[in-house]
Amino acid sequence: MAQTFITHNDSYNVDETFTDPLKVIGHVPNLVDHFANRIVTGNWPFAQDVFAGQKLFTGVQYCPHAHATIKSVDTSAAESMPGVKAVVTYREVPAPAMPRPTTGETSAEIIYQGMCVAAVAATDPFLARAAADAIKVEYDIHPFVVDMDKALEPGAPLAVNGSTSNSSTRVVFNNPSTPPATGPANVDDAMKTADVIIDNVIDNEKWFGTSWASYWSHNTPEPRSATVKWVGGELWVWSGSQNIANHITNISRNMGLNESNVHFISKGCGGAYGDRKPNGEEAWIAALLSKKARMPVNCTFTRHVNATGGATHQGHQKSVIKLGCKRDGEVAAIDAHWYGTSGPIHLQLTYKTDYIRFTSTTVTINVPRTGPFRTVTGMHSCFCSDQIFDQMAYELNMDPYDFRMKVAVTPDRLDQATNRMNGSNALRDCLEEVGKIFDWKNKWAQHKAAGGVGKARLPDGRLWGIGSCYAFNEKGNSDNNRTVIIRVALDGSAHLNIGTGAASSGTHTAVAVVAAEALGTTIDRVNVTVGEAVLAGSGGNQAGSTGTMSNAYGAFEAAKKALGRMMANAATTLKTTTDQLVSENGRIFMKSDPTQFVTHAQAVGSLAIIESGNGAILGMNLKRDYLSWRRGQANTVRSSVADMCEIAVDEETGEIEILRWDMVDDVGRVLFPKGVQAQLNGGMVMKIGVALTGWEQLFDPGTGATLNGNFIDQKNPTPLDVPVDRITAVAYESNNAASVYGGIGCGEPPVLNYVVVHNAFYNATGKRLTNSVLYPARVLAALGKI
Amino acid sequence: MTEEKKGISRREFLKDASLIVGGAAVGSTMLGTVAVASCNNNNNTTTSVGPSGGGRHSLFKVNGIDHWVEIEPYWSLNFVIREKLGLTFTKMGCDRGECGHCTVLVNDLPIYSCMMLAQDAIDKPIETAEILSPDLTNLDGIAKSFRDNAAFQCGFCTAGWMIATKALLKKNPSPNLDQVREELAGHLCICSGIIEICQTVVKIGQGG
Ligand code: FES
Ligand code: FES
Repeated sequence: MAQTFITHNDSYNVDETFTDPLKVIGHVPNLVDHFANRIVTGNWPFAQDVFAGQKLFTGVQYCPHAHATIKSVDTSAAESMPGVKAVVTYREVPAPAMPRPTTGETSAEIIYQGMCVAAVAATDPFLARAAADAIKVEYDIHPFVVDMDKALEPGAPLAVNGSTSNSSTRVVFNNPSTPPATGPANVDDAMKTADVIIDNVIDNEKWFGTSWASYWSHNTPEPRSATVKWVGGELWVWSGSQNIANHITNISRNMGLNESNVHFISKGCGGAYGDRKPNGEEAWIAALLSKKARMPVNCTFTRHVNATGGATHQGHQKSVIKLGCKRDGEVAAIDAHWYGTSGPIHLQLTYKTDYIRFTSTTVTINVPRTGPFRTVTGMHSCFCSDQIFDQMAYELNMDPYDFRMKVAVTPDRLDQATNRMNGSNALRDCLEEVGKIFDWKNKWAQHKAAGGVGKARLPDGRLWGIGSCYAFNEKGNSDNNRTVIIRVALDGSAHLNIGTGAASSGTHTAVAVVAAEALGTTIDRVNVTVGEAVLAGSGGNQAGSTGTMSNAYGAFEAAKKALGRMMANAATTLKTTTDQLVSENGRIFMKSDPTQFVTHAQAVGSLAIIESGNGAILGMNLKRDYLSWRRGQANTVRSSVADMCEIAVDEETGEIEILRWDMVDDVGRVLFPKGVQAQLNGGMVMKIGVALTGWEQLFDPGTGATLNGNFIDQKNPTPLDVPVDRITAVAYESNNAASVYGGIGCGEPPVLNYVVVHNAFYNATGKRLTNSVLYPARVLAALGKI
Repeated sequence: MTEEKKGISRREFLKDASLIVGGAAVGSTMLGTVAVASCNNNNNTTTSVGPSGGGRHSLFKVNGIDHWVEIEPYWSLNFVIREKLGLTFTKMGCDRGECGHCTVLVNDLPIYSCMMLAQDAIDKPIETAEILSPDLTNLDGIAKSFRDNAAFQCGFCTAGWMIATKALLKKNPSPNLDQVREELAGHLCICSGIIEICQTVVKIGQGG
């Protein structure tokens, strides 16, 4: 697969602050050695790797019931087992994944299978698990509900004792909020002007505008794990975290420690994708056990506990959408109702209309807790909303490409939820570019000539289909405070410390590249330490595709401050003013005479320079001087992505084969090419997992238990599932974002559009599959074969 | 806590685990049955002799070095390699034969070390990912290619892929893409570097 980038300079939106020719950005060919070597080899210290041979191991007893109350816990058998050094129960560890007793009470409510009830530290993990199994727990078992639709039925069991309902509904927005001077007064009136309506009621027989997105475990390759050691009254923790500052706060509160006495080191998150954002009870459990046992303790959740109660999950989502369009494709109105165990985003960002109502019903059921996944909940949101638009194109007898171009949000539009300007044409640009790569127009014509929807076949007799999809992605979150510290040493080399966790190997290099560019030095003179909040005060959330944007901004600001001091020293030495100087390749020289220079080492002087910068997400795609953005504010950046896919459907087996899958993703500016390409390709594989291989957690309706809490039955793609040579992922440099050097991150959008396979499936078969995973059995059922 | 030593049995160790056959992680139910059935032939409720209780020392030949280790009969090879020898490049992702992160070579064959009892590896030549990178400042061979082609992200799975690649290239020095996909099918990379990894292994075979 070729590594190509499409560069496009938007005339309306380039931030002039960063238009100088760049020396380092985009020019570093490989990951920087001093961290890449350690990560690639296995030398990078994950939580399980520290204190080899010197630590105790943890076994966890978890509740097998979906809804119960703990009556009693008897740990005596476990305590007398060989090798056992300490035992704790939920009463001592009030962690989020453990039941929370009300103060002074000894009983507590279990609200999903897999909540941890007690834990044991022992000399090896096998003994620890055997001892944990020996803990006797008595429960009062309650009725439960693990199906979202059933939870909404009258008389359904309550998921939480004492609650009055399993759901709550609110209208999130209803635009226009006041009737406009001309045109329909509201969504209902606007819907009446539509020529074609797809509605869950009126189209019940054909396809009913409802989509069901599956529930799945984050399936992190590194299980949740923490190793802790007490040194005097101070606690040292090695654990993966995507929000170190938050983890420190939680641990210190629960242990009764000053935050300054908790040292948290997070070198790697082992493919966390959101799972390491919440509180990290593995560290709390290990800390309490370690305190009792007076030894370092590792707490690693088993794969099953990780897949059930120990970690977070992507929640169910279900959409019921009514969409009305004019004959020419213009959207008359959207009336969307969302149901879910996690919230939707995106719908209002992608499509152009003034009339949109968005109602949301949150539903509580007895399944393990949910948390943000890559794109937060965006993959599911996109799945739940896109099929109805794709279907509308067919209802209007339009090429879906043309329909998408017609209804895509334009740069001048305000976001319907926030009233902020969109400001980018990248959604259309990405669709246009992927259309060229895929050769959509020709393929569409060929497909029609071969019989069109449900009839076109390949020479081998299988059904043949093509699909398209696009989405806007909003990156950012409510917490973008990130402290980055820079130390420019006496030899002029720079070391940056970032307090956030690193999700991927590209983080270090992207930050190093930005710092080198800002300082005017070479990449080999910059080192980056990630995940040691001991030094860097706050790391903020490593989430929302904000790692590059926010950390790079902190690095940029810290480097610019340090360079300012070096420039002042250089100006004194060269008897000039700083505006006459420029910094490049580790030297500060006169613009007028480059032979007059000082090295960075000379410019530092006799004391190392230490400065800090605050990360910020500059936000939106608006042209603005970077200094005018206020740091510490919640903000977001938009980016776009478009996919096209070609599939073959075997009617005998229900198997779907990917013949080709192309994607173009707007990444702003490419800071580090190989890192960007790796993120894009990784997203493609993840989409295959969600759409095709069975990344879906199943619950036993009789017991509420997870049926597939492992890697095989809840399957991520293996190489056999990935048609490596039929995938093309291309970065599109819209270069229109007010972010550091225009880079807006690339982690999230590549995973958004798994629904493109469903759209191709309709094109191939004439059937809509409204569940997210296209298992062969579901395919055969949709085709009426079983 | 009591110091009385009872240990746990080999059967318990394997009871909910599935077993690896060839390269591919498939069909947990069927393979799990195989694992349990094989345990029935060795209904060994061990009275173990603990490391501090004067047990036996066994020879582990790892990366060309002899290590004498006092083991428990229920310990996995993964546990011994990581915790007793301190060779932590080999990871533990699932402890049940599903992910491939724990792969080591035993007699040149890629083995899930979480699924092999340490006592079954005594005296056999074992290679771990450490052997691929003796000098962290100067990578070469498979590790250098994986680095230069960005065939890793979080890095948790990478050592497993790389050591399996060593075995693959020994068997087939110049595999094509489909052979790579087939041979490395027992590995997961959730991040996912699968595209880069497969392309990198093909490249290595072509001398690139
Ligand atoms: S840890 Fe051994 S296969 Fe996953
Ligand atoms: S690099 Fe993270 S799982 Fe493979």
